[in-house]
Amino acid sequence: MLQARSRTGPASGLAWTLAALGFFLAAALLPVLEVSKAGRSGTASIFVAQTGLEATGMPLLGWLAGTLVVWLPVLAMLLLLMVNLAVLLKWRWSGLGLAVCLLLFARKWSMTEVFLLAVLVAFIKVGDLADTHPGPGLWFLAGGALMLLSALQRIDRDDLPALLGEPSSRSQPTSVMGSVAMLVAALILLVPANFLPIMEIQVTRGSHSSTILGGISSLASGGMWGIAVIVFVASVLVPIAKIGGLGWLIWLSRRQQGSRGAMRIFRFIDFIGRWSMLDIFLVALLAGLIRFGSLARVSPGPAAPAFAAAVILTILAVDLFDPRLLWQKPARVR
Amino acid sequence: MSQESEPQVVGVKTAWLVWIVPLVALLVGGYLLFKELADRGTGITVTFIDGSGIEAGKTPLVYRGVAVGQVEEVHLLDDLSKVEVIARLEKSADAIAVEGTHFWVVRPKISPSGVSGLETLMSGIRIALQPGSGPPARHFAGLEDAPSRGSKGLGRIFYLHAPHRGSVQEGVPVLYRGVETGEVVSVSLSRDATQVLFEIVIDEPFAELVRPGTVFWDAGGVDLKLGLLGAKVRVGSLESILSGSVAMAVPPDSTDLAPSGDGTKFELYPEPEDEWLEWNSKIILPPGKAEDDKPDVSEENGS
Repeated sequence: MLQARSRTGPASGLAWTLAALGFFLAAALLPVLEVSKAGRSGTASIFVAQTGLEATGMPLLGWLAGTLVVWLPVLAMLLLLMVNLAVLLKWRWSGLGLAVCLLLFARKWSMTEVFLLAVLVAFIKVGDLADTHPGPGLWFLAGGALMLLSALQRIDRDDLPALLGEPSSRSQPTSVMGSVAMLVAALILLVPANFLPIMEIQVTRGSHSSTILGGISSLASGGMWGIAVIVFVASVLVPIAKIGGLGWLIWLSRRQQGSRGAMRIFRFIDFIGRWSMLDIFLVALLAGLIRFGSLARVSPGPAAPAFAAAVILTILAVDLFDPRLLWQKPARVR
Repeated sequence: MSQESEPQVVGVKTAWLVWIVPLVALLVGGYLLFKELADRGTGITVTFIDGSGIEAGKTPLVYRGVAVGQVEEVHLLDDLSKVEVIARLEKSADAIAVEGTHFWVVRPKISPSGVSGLETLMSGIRIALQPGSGPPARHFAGLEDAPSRGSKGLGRIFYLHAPHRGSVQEGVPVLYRGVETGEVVSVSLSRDATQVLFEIVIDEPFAELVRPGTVFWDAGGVDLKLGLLGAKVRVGSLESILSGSVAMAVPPDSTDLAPSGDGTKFELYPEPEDEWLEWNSKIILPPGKAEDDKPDVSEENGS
């Protein structure tokens, strides 16, 4: 059974990985989004996630966004290449375990698809500031992200323990208290994240800073209800739902009342977490794109790093929580 | 962020270390909020009769050509009589929020007495201001136009009257020997409608020239006289042909008299007598204020 899958899996996985790499390379060379205003134009490649924030005074946040959007997917692809080749050629190599660990990490934190959604939102949101056109890189990025997903799915969860040579286990230590601590930290950071401006928009006629909620309400009052709902769900609902939901699950696990339904909720929370990074990528895109000197300029506000940290912390909180506590007798609950 | 939150801690003794993360979050979050609040300038409200063109989040408050604040909200007062503008000043410009500060809206204006605020056609209107020096204040009544020289307390106000307005308009200069010494602030009908009243402001050092006997006449336009012995044409400067001006002269026998006080009335003659133009009275003017001390509103009112 394992043998049969390993034979077809790695070969097609290798193909998908190579294709994804090619698409990513094309996406890196071609503009993802093009804007123009009053005769001036600007383009954004996928690196804008990083450079947009770096150039406007937030280098650390820029590196974080760049890592999530570009560097981790690239790392995932290179590791996939290695692991697939290793399985195909039946290498037994001691570094493979580490490679698989890294691959799991890279897969967890790759957020190319969130960036794609941010491009879509930016495309509509920029509308009133400048003319926007999708660049050819956008299609390559979308294709590359799909292929990477496909390649990652060829590596089955069940294959990895075999590769690692140890029974299935989580790569990170888990701790309910750690999870609670992360949730508390995220909750604290959500306060400045929601009350401070996430970005500052300067146009010829003055400047105004917009908070997350302010941006959503301006989208809604501009008639862009669909986008307003997407941003609201990603930026407001998801972080709060995550913190509340996970807090509830932790409470359930302590009272040993876990159930199949609770497990499903955990999976859902695990899935939705990353989409909250939408707002950070959006700010990075706008900051990188809208740089027309005194005509129009966008720079990130102090809420951006607070929000990014809150989202990262909620993802870590989910990571630290061991879902087995939901159906097993809690052996290590403190 | 991620490195500080990686718990290598599993043992019970060190498990509390993970609470450092919320503590750091509290410190960072608190610092961000505190910094934002500390950097916020004073919020002020200014009321205007006409709010056209004022936009929340866009219209800047400008002083000496630099934005010192921004309009945050515009709404009508409850009794619909005025427009209330809520603005936030920059932290560095808090000193503006004091009693005596004048606010007015700069709009593009083309009138016989000059062109002003044209740049606002492109950039949108702005609110200009002239800082006062009173105790701190939060609520202000905006002026409808740039403050006249008189309201800056830098000149002396006099009134001229004439049966007809002639070519004199609001904002035209008052000239002495062709040198600008002040301006016409307002033109209105007298209470009994028999005369036209001109309010003029003469800048401080030149106010010494205004004393009993000083004559004023309408120096605008071209004066053409045709007589039996030939034609006589009197032309002012080019600008006074275009926009008009008021001229004044001091008779020699007035040099010993004390200067007139604020609010003294004079007649405005439609034309000068030949003799006036030859008067050569010697009056020692007190040293004027240093140029720097004069608030620079000429750019704002353009007249």
